[in-house]
Amino acid sequence: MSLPLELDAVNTPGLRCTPTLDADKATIAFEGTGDVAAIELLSDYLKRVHAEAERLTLSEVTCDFRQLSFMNSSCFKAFVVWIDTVKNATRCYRIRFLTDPGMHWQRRSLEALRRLATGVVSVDG
Amino acid sequence: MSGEPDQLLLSFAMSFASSPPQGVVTPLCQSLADACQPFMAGDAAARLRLAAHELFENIVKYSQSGECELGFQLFRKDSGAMRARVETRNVPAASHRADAEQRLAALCTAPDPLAHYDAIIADSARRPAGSGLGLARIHAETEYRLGYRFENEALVIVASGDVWLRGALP
Repeated sequence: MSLPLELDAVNTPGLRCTPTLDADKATIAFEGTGDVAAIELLSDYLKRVHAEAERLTLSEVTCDFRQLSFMNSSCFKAFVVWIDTVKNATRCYRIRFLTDPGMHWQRRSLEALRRLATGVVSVDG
Repeated sequence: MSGEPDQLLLSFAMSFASSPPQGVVTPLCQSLADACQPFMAGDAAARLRLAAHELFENIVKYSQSGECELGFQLFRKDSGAMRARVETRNVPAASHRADAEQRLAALCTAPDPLAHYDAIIADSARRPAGSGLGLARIHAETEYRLGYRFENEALVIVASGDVWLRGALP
């Protein structure tokens, strides 16, 4: 029996993060807009996601961006920090971004995150 | 090259006498993109939104006096293509002025914007704040050209790029 995910859904007025766990893979659904109001929440949340991934020895964390309409550079940086942490961790896990091709910003932004850690990050959608 | 000046099709500008709340950035830039989406082709409205958001958020964050301006213009070029232009103006704090100038100069002279962007991303992972990621993101992700100038104490940043109208793709 797998351990439960100790990570709640959180939200600011503009952004909601909803986690789910399936065996050794977690998915975080992001909904809304990642702007200045979400920076602290997101930065803290991704640290907790990483702690949970390590505690549960997850093989993959999927970030479902299909309902994320925009992300500013400060929120983008929170993902940079997280990916850099995973890339340099003793035990790596994969980070997968699930995108909506209709949200054009996602392709270019997430491709940049993929280039940061090609062995860790993949982009689908 | 005909030398004909670009024809101004659309223009709006907003001036703030005191620092606007950060909360105004997202709805304003979203509205700009929504207004342009029906007639801009491909990802032009999304690129415009990103450029406007990053520039506007910067001046709201870094204005010393609180006074700042945001402008948007759409031109028809003599080639038939369109050019979108986003301009911001503010008086940055002295501590930010030199930093902004250095980052902008590096961006504007980078021979490979993508390689420069990747380097800034990697560097930003270890920086607590002030990574210059927003400006680099505009440069690399929107493919807008960035320019800047100082007018006395005010910093004016211009981001401009080609866009195509629906039904007028090359």
